[in-house]
Amino acid sequence: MTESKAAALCGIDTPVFQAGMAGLAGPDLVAAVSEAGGLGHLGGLRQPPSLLRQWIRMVRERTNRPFGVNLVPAYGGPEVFEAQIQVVLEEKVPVLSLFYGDFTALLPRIRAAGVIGMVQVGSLAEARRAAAAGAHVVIAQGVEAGGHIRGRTPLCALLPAVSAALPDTPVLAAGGIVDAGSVRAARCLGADGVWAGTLFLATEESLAHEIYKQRLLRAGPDDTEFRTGYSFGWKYGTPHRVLPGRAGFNPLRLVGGGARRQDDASMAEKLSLYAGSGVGRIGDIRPARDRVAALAAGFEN
Amino acid sequence: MQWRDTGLGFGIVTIILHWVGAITVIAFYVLDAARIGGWQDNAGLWAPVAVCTAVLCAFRLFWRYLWYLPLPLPGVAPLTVMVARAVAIALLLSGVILPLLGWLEFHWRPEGMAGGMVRLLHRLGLLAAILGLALHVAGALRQQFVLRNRALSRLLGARVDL
Repeated sequence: MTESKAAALCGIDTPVFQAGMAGLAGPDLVAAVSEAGGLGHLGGLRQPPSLLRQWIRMVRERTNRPFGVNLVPAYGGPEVFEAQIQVVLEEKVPVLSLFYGDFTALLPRIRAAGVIGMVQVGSLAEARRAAAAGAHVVIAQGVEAGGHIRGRTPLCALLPAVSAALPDTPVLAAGGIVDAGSVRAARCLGADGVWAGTLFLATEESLAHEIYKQRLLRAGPDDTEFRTGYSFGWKYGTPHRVLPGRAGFNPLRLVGGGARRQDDASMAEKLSLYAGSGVGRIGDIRPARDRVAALAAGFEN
Repeated sequence: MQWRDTGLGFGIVTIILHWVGAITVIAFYVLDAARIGGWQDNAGLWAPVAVCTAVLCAFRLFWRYLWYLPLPLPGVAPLTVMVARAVAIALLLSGVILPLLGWLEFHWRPEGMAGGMVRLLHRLGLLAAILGLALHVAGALRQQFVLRNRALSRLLGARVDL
């Protein structure tokens, strides 16, 4: 197994990090990933602070291994974000991953509280700012990624640039990571670990609607679309990648989102669902531990 | 209590404007419908209520744009949230547009095709607004009595921990 600074820092067996997907990465998935030796992240975006606290405690009931929370200030405003941060600090969550914002003021606070701070970036400039502000780990997100996308640069261009510019900061690869082959490719480009989202949606433990999971399995490599239109809860124009919803008269096709177990089946059919460009290589629904093992195989020498 | 809205709750300005606006908008719909239908000559009352409605609704739209909306309460489906927000914005827009259409019809009194168009838009707009208001009220009752959450309490100024 390759040595990984990020894995050592987080106290995990293998540098496989499950992305914190809002409303879809719940306690069962996070605990299963962490139990398998990776690091699960609760999707904190859209979660009211009280529910986030409940989820954190549910993860702790399921595992003693390290886990993380993913937060995004772009949704709900600064007061909601601050309330969520307070929950993370009070509950002493080991890892906090951040996305879509300026975290210059927050990162020193995270560090001082003993929490490992990770920032997902979409450009070299943003990576430099995050590292300078005190991020322990930087996640380089290529435009291949599913859901919301920070930059427009492909992973094969961004990752080597970020890795070279930040030799002392572990850099994770995000975007199209679905199997050991993509992990090996990311390692060749300088990745210290990998950050995967779509792959973990197609697991038994994810909170994605069954129809969402089936749509992921049916998707081919050409089926995702990069969009800058409307996505639920986000500012209009925020870039994101989706599997387009059902054709014909279907206004929900214009809306990007994630369908959860409790949502209507018709919504899961009609909505344009978040998915990364690696979705065409996901062929079945597996337990999360199998996904961790599959990606971990890419770190074997 | 905070004066502006945040992701955690409504501010006092929104709460006051919501209820004052509700009374004003309903009063305007009644007066407008009566004037269109020719049931009573209420021109003296229609004009000040129309102006109040337009100003209140325009300010509420501006205020809504200025600050973050409070997070939806747990258990409310995203589609419900999207529809509820779309209806709320449509009602506020109707509060600005219908008084303008009324002014055009009753005071400018266009003739010919333009007049016919204004009268048609005014009537259809009022009908759509009344249906939208009914949907809005039905949604609020559903929150209160079916979902049994505190959406209504939140708009009455109660602190609801999210």
